[in-house]
Amino acid sequence: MENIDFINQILAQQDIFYKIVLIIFMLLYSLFALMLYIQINSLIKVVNQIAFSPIFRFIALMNIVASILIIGYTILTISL
Amino acid sequence: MDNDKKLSGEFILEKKESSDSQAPAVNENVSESTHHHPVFPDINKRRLHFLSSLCVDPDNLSIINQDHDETVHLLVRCHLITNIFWVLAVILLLFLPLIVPFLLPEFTFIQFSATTIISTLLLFYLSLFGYTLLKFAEWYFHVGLVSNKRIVDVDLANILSKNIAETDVKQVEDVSYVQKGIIQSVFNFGDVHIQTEAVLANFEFNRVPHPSQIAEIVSDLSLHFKKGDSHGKH
Repeated sequence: MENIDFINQILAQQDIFYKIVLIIFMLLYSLFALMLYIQINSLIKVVNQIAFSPIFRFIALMNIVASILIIGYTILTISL
Repeated sequence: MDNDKKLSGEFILEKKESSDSQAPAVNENVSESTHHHPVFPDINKRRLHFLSSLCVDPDNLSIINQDHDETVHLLVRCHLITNIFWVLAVILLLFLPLIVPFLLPEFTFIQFSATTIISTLLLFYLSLFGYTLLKFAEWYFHVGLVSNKRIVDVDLANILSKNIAETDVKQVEDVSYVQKGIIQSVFNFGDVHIQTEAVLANFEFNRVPHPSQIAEIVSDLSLHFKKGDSHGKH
């Protein structure tokens, strides 16, 4: 009986639970984006196409910024 | 008197340049940075861009530990067609959220707010973008370089492991290439094997376009710089 109540409670607040899971995934993604940025930066030193490297670095940086913005948006809208 | 000497020197240099332009024959005394390659009409020369998989004498390129007198003569990456599978996967996944609304009515107990759906979509498309960036970086940095001093082979197995190997360009013993299967023959790409004097240091440029021409260029460059070295010693 208690178990059923617990499941009902989760289903009633499924939106919040789902958002918490989403935030965990987003944090993992941010870590991945950071690693990607660090690797791109280090590999640009190996092969530096002078015209494209700054653009590539910028795109990798924007990936991190976007992931942080999405985390922010999800946290701000968690109770909505 | 000094001025006269200077003038005559300049005149001789000009004369030499004009004779070079009229007869672009192989000059054994040519400097290492002004080496002329065999001409291949299909190969991109100098115009290096972010999707270049083969470029001879690329402009605006610097490599790791590059000396001031070192010039990159050849840049090779995997043929663009080798990216086809992940590009198709990304294109298909772009449309995945369109079929989800048709599946959701089956699961009536799932009730998410609009902001949750937006967050999910944003994470999905950002992940797709991150995957594209990762695969592109894997292709972009998996590169083979031949300069007037060395051969550099950068292998990027995944985002956390990279292998950078280099050898003296004069140590090249043998260059061969392999093309297997219909796809490699149709799109004209294959593996170029560079055997060096060192026991373990053999280099491979995998799935590169125009492998026969790359093999010829590498072998030609190696021979040229070997000759230059022997002339320098004498």
